[in-house]
Amino acid sequence: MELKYMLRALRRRFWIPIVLVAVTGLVTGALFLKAKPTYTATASVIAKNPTNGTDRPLSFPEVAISNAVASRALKDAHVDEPIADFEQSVAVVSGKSDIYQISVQDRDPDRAVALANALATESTTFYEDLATISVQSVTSQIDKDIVEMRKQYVAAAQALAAFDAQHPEAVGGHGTSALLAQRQELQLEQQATATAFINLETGVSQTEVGEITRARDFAAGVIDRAVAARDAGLRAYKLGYVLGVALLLGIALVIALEYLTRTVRDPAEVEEILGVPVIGFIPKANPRVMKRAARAS
Amino acid sequence: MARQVADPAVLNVSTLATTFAESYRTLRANITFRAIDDDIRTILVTSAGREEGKSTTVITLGLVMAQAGRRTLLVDADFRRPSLHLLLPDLAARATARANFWDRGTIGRMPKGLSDLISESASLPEVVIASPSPDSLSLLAAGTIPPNPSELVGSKRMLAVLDDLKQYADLILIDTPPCQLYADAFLLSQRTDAVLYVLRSTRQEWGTHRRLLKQFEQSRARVLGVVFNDVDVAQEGYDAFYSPGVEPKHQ
Repeated sequence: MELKYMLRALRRRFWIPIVLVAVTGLVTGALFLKAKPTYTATASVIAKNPTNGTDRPLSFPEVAISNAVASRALKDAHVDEPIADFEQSVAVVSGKSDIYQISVQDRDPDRAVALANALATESTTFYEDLATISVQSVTSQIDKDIVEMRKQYVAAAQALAAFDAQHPEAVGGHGTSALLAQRQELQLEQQATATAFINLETGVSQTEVGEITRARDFAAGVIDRAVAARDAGLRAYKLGYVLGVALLLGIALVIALEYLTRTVRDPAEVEEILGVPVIGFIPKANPRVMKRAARAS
Repeated sequence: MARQVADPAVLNVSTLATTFAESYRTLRANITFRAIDDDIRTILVTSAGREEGKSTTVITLGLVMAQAGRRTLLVDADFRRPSLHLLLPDLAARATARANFWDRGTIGRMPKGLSDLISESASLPEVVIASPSPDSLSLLAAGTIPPNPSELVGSKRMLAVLDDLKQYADLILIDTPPCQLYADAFLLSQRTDAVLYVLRSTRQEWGTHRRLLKQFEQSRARVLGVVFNDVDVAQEGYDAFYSPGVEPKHQ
C-alpha cells in the first residue's frame, strides 16, 4: 500500500486514533486518580572500585540488589515483605563516578525512606565486608604460620643453648670433630628458622599494607540519606507512554482496516494491482437522477 | 406513462440520455477501439463473486451497443442464478406472451432459452426475444435450469450454438455465473472472443482477482479489461470535477 493511500485512509478514518487516544487517556487518568500515589525515596552512596570495565572484582549494584542485602534492609526497616517484592521496587543507578543512587518505591513515604536508608547502609557494609572477607581468612592463616614459625625458632635456639651448656668446650672450637659437627648443625637449624621467621614477618607486613590499601580502595559509605518524593513525573511519563501507544495502535488499526476492507476507487490503482487495463469506469447510479429521467421520457 | 426503473443501475431507453449512461458509451468506445484489429463478436462478461454487476453490465452495455446500431444479443449463460429476464421484464413478458398461454404459464416463469437451445428442445427463432426499442437488441434467456450446467456450457453443442447465434447478432454479450465459484466462465471463455471482468468498487480480495485473471490467461482467453463498477465518485471528487458548470482550472 502506497504512502498516499495510507494518508488518505488516515484522513478518512482519523477519528479512530483520536477516539482511541481519548478513551485511553480518560481510562488511564481515571485509574491514576483512583490509585494510591507512589513515593520514591532515593539515597546516595559512594562505593569505590579500583578497577573498571568488565574486570571488576565487585559490582556495587549487584551487591545492593542481592538477597542478603535486601533481607538485612527489610529487617532493619522492620518491614514484613517478601524479598522478591521488595527487590522489584528497588533501583540502583550509577553515573560516571563511584556514586550510586539507591531508590525504593513504595505507597507509604515513611516506609520508602526507611527502606532506602536501610538498603544504603546494608549495601555499603556488605560491599566492604565482601571486599575484605578474603583478607581476613588469609591473615588468620598467616597468624597461625607465625606462631608455628616462632615455635620452631625457639626450639632450635633452645636446642643450641642446651648443647652449649652440655659441651662448653665446643663453644670455643675445641673438642672432638663429632661434637663440633653436631654444634654446627644446631647453629644452622637456628639460623634457618630465624631467617624463615624474619622473612615471614616481612611478608606479613607487606600483605597487611596491601590489604589496608585494598580495603581503602573498596571503601563504601552513605552520602545522602533518603527523602521521599511523590511520583507525579512518573505518572505523567506513564500517561504519555500509554497515550503514545494508543495513538500508534489507532494508526495501526486504521491501516489494518484499510488493508482488510480495502476499497479501491482509483482505476489506475486497479490497473496497478491487477495488471489489466480498466476499460470501463462506471459510477454509482444516482436513483433520483434516473427516476427523473424515466419520468421525463 | 413513465417507465418504471426497478434497478437504477440498469439503463433502459428512458435513461439512455443520462450522464450515467455516458460511462457505458465510454466502455463501448473502448471495446470498439480494442476490436479494431480483432473481430470480436462474442464477449463473455464475468466477475469473481456475486453482486459485482455482471448482468447490469451486460444489459446496459447491450443497450448502448444497440443504440449505436449494432445488432446485439444478450445471452444469459448463468444457469446458477439467471437474472437477465428479471432485469428486462418487458422482454420476458414478450416471451411469455408469445408462448402458448396454457402451456407456458404466467409472467415470471422462466422463458425458454440457451439450455433448451443446447439440448435441442427449442429452435433459435423460438428462444431469441427481440426488443421493441432499440430494435437491434435481443435477449436469449437462460432457459430451463439444467442439472449439469458446467457440462452444458463445455459441450461441443454449445460451440455450435454460439456459431448459430452469430447469425442473429453482430455482438453477443454473455452473462455468466461468478468465476470464483463456478468453472462455467472459464469453460465458456475458450469459446468466446473476449472476456470482460467486472469489479465492484467495494471491499475486494485483490489476491483472488489476480489469481482468477491469471487463470483466464492460462486458459488462453483474451481479457479485454476490467469494468470498474459502482464507483462512489462523490468520495473521490470525480463528480465535482466533471459536473456541468465547473470551469476547468488554467494552470
